[in-house]
Amino acid sequence: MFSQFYGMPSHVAWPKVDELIGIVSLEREANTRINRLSTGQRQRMNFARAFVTDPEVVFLDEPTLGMDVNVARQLRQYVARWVRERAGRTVLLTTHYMAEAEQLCDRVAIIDRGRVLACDSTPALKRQVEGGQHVELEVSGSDGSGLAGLSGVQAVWGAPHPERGTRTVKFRLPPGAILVDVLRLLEAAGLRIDSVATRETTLEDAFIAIVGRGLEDGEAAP
Amino acid sequence: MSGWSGRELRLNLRAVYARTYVRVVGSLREPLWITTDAVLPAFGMCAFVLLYRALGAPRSFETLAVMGGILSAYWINVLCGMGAQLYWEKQQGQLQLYFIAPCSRMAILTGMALGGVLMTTLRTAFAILVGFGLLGVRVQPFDVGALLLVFLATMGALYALGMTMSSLFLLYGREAWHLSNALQEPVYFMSGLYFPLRTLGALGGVLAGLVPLGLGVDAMRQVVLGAHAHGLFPVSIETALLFTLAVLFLALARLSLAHLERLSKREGRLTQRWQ
Repeated sequence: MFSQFYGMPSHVAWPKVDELIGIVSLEREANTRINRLSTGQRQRMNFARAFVTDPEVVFLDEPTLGMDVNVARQLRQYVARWVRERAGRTVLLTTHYMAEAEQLCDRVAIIDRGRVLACDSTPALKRQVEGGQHVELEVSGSDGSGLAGLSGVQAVWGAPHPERGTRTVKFRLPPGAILVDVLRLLEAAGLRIDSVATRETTLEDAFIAIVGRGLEDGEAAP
Repeated sequence: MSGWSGRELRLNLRAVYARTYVRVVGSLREPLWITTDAVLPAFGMCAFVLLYRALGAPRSFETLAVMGGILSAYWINVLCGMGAQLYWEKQQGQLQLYFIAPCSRMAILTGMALGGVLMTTLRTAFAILVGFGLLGVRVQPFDVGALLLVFLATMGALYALGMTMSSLFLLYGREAWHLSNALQEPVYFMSGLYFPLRTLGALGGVLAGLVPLGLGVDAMRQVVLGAHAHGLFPVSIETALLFTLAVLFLALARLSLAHLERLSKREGRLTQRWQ
């Protein structure tokens, strides 16, 4: 129906519809009424419908929210391919998934409480926070006040682990600081460090650095 | 709708076809609707036919009741299938897509109306079967062409009213829906579905005549039964009134859709603020 609303002939639309039904894994529901589809299935149907008419601009609002991992991956692959193969096409994607934004977007705008705090390519955003190692610790034994003694460290705390009673804390090592020294300082402040991991800068790091808090602390979206 | 180029006309015809197709296919996938739209109205019709028969009323009254029963199926479809449709589409997240589509919203509503007429015509087969088959109601030969013309005028006026209601229901949401439910029985009464409209008296008859359902039923009965139909106005006048109402309601539907479109562009909403 929607292909016809855009003047697309049936012989062009039907193969496209079949292809998209396959991509969103709704083959078994192809003849089901919309009001019988679950919320997730309806979301997938809406995704498919957006691409049937091969539009120049597509708005995708949290397209993979709550979706099965495999289907979400298929959708992301489709979007990436669609943009790559069609010059001049644009997708405006709203998402809370940093990995999704990083994978799909040429430019990322970080919006916090209705204000655009940054808008640039992913590498450029990452460069804003590079210069120090990203550290993730699993700690216990203190309320975290020990970190306050480290100047230049902006730490983000995760929720307490229900069984282990530990918490995750993420921070970027200040330039010039040595990790072992920082860990000793923390232990001296009463924190017990159960595990240590370091990694490369991600878009999430950039997000935290730009917004000043994690997504779980309040509303903010790229 | 004036000023459409050939390309726009083709696009809008496609939209009409597409919406009609979906309505027809969708209805076939919902067998319960056949019960509510065809079987249930037939019970009322049967009751009146049997009542007239038990009272020894002229046989024309039985025909009159059967025709009322047939047209009541269209009225239910106009109320439920047309009036509430955009509201349901909004609930399912489809309405916004209608408004960003490049085709005319009137074309979409026309498709809904055509699909509704088609499917309800199939369902009225049940009322015809029960009335003229099971209950043995008989009619004299009549002018089929005139009946078709009056039927078309009635459908035009009824479904144009449905198109107007569709936009109004969307704008006023549940309140309009409740009002329509409240008005259902009075409209049945004012339309004289199971009795001649003239029995309401002069003023009642004129008021009832303003409802397209009443005018349509009355005109169709006159074509089939002649003087036995106890008609309100001559058929030609009623037919002309029906065509006039169809044009009027189409214009109203277009105006209310334009209002909705302005609202959506200006304020980013499709309903009243308190909805």
